[in-house]
This record gives sequence, C-alpha cells and structure tokens, in this order.
Amino acid sequence: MITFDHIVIRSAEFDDAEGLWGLYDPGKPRTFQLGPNLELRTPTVDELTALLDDPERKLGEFYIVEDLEGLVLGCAVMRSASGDSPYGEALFAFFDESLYATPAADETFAFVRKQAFAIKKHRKLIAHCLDTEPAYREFLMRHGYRSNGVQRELIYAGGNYHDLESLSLFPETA
Amino acid sequence: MNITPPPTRLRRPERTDIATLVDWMRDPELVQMILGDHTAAIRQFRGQILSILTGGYGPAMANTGHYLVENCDGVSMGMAAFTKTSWRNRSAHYDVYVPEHLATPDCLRAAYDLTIRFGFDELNLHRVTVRVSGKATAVHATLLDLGAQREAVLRGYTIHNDGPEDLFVFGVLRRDCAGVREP
Repeated sequence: MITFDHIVIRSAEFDDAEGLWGLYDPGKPRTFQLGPNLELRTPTVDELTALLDDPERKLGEFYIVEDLEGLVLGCAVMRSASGDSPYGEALFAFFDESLYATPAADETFAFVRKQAFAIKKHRKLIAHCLDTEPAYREFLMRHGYRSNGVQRELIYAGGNYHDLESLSLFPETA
Repeated sequence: MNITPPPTRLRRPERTDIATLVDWMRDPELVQMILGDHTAAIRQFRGQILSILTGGYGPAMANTGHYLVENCDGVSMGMAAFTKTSWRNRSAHYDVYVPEHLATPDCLRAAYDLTIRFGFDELNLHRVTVRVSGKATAVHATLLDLGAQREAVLRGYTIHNDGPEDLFVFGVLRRDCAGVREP
C-alpha cells in the first residue's frame, strides 16, 4: 500500500471483484474491458474473483486506487504487452470519468510510470483508447503519450463499430 | 526470368505438404510470422508446424487458421495465417508469407488479394488487419493498391539485431474492397 497526497494505491485482492465489477458495463464500452482478442468482455463477479485470485495474474498487475477515506475510485493495470516483449501496456479505469482530470489520476499515472520505467525497465509503455473515451484520451496525451494511429471500426459493442487508437509513451518523453 | 503463374487459391495444409514447410523453415521471415520471433527455437517451430498441419479453422469457433497459397499448377507459393480472429468484432489479423524468390509484385499482389477476399467472402469478416514490417515497402504499396489504409505506425515495436523496428498497421474494411460478396 502506497499513500499519496490524494489517493492510496494497493494491489488488488480477490474480494475486490464485487467493487470492480461496475467497471465492466456493457452499455459503456471502454478499453479496460478489452480481452486478448480485442473483444469487450463482461465477466461475472465469480469470474472476476477467479481472475483476481489467479496466481499467474493473467490480468496483469492489478492495482486498486482509493481515496484517503478508503472509497474505491478505480484501478490501474500494467502488463507485458506480449510474452517477454520489452514494453508494457498500462490501463487506467475510474468509475467517474471526470476523475481523469484530477490530481488523483495524476498520482495514479506517476505510480504506474515509475513501475514501468524505473522498476521494470520497459522501453515503451503502450495504451489504447476507444472513440467513446475522450476524457481518457485527454488524460493520456497530457501525460506524454503520443498517438500511433487509429484502427477503424475494430471493436463491435452495443450494435456499433468503434475505432481504437493506439498510443505509446517512451521513457525519454514521460 | 520468373514464369511461375501467380497464386489463385488458398487451401488447408496437408501432411503431404510437410516437405515444403520444412524447406521454408530456414527462412527467418516465416519463423517471425508463425511465432512472432525470428530467434525462436527450432523445436518450438516444428511443434507449431505440426499443429498447423492438423489445425486450420477446423473447430467451429477457432481463432487461428493457416492456409497454403497455391497457383493454378498446384505450386505452393506461400502461406497465409489468420490470427486473433474475433467472431464478435468480425475482424482478424493476418500475415502472408511468400518466399523471397517468388515474391514478384504480381505474386505478392495476388497472394494478398486472395487472402483479403477469403477474409470477407468465406469468413464473413467486417475488417482485416495486416501488420507489416516498416522495411517491407513492396508490401505497403501492394496493400495500398488493394484498398487498404495505413492506419498506425507502432514505433520500435520489435527488436532485431540492428535495433528497434517499426511495425506498420494496415486496415481493410469490407467496403474498402471492391467486388466482395454482400454479407
């Protein structure tokens, strides 16, 4: 558990599943929900519990972001992009999208950046962003991410196709 | 002068194709395509080849398929791999391998055209994604000519002996591709 000025970050436990389940809203597609095949997934609470309890950590390193009173604001996930690749993928998800513009989100980002570049020595951190997430995109760009381009109509959700933007962050620009 | 007719069909590999596949195994480009890493161990690669020979889109909802690209004389001219197929998004990534000595502009164009049309006409996809090394400029031109759009450049995506290499992402939507069957 690490305490910042506005938030507390800790590793996720299996009993966080019920609290996090609200982030998997099928009516509100977000990058956080994308699985390995780039399909939006909506696990049940039991499935999410099993994933968080998995010793192999298939979901990646999963961190819970709380405010100083212990209210869960969202989460951050970091994982290797594929196998032993020299770069990682970071995901940030907050229940309230307006939080992306607050110091709470900035402190979450600073924590993940340190993990990625100072501790894991990744060469690059990538992120993805759906066309339904303007606040998330603004948050990533504000922290030095640069767009690699937009893949058109890649994700199907809620009866529509959505574009997926790829972004990357190098240590020298972070 | 190369007088080999260009590819005209895709088919699933059979056990009788093993000699061709073993011959191609020496090419790092094919190893890169199958395993995503040209330095992968040969034993791992052999295992993957065997699974290709016994796999394909056999199971109804499999998300990977490998096909031989063949010309009208029955000469194997390369391989097409569909990976990361999402039946929900109706999209797939694909890679096409054509051995260097057969990779004339006509052959490359025919191989990619066949593969793209297979994705739309047979697999009923909405979108096909092709990821190509930044150095493969002949393939870039072929894809643009076939209606694909260059959508993203992933900087420093792979590491080769001579350092980081960019990966170009091309996307083809069904509506970009003239003459495909209506869904």
